[in-house]
Amino acid sequence: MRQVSSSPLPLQPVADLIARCLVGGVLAYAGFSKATGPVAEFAAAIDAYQIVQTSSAVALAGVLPWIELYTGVFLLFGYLTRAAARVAVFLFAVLLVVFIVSLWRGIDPASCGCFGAGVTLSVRQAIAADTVLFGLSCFLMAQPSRTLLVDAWIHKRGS
Amino acid sequence: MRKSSRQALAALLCFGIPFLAVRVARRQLGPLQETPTARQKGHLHAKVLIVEYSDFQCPACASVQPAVQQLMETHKGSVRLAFKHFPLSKIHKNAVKAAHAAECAAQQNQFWPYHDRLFAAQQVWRDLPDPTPSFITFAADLHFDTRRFSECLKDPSRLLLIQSDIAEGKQRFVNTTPTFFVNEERLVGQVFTSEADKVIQRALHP
Repeated sequence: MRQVSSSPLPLQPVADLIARCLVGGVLAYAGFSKATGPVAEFAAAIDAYQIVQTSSAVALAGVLPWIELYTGVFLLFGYLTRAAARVAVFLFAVLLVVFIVSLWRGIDPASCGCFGAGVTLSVRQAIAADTVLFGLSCFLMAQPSRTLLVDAWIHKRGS
Repeated sequence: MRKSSRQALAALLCFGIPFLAVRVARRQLGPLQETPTARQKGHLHAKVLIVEYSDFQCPACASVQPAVQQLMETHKGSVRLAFKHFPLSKIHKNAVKAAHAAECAAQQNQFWPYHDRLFAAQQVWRDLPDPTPSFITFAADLHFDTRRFSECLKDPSRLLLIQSDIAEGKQRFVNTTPTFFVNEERLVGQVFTSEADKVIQRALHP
């Protein structure tokens, strides 16, 4: 039986919806862009941070976009919301570790490839953006969502 | 509607819609056009064709050149290299000028020596407000007809070849330099350095 916490704060439904839209939107967009583009482009981006071996970077590049896409879509739809929030927390935590380690090691991803498309953030800008998204993901994981959820439609009582 | 039906429908939509959206959005790779002979080197009937989309102002493109040369040496007779211009003009303001200068070198059948010089001396010219004098100096050092070279630098018609390469690259979803196609298998950035030899070996020994 699903647990329901007592008396939410008045603004929580709005905050929850905003958080889901932001985190879900970013993940869905990022995942969709990578899943529809060449895998080799994303593999090069992963390889540029020199965290994993090149063969692992290629394998991750095939899988990660789909994880991002489905996590984002599930958050936007409010489907399997708590699980999606946990995955989002994990993804952003890993990204933060990667960026911080590369900053500490003095790795400049631009030295491994000149990325011409889309928004190019510096490592520091990426850390700032991911910190915000990580925080919002933690909020979604900690607080049960209530607003415009497929989950609520699935579990509603009555006909 | 029963709960089980709602669960099934939700799963179908939430898993199915993103999958279908990606399948619909994926586009076919554009065709590879013939590269001018002056920008090709290697065996004429080589089993392996390496097509390189590159930007003379890109540091990664410069750093990958030794690996490219090594592969050409190691697989001499089996590999042909074709160079395509893909200057990232939004982030590299002298890239198009460098590509134009390289095309002017190609006009005198000196593309490859000039290509090597541009990458070797990248630090010298890449941040200059106007790199043209440097480009002319490089041509003089390589014993070009510098008068003809300087006139070519003022001729905008050479840019058509560069624009054609860029359009082709975009149709083949090139966004990053260097991007290589080794017999149509895409390798991007430094991944080329570690993976290209394996790809070539597979092509030569299927």
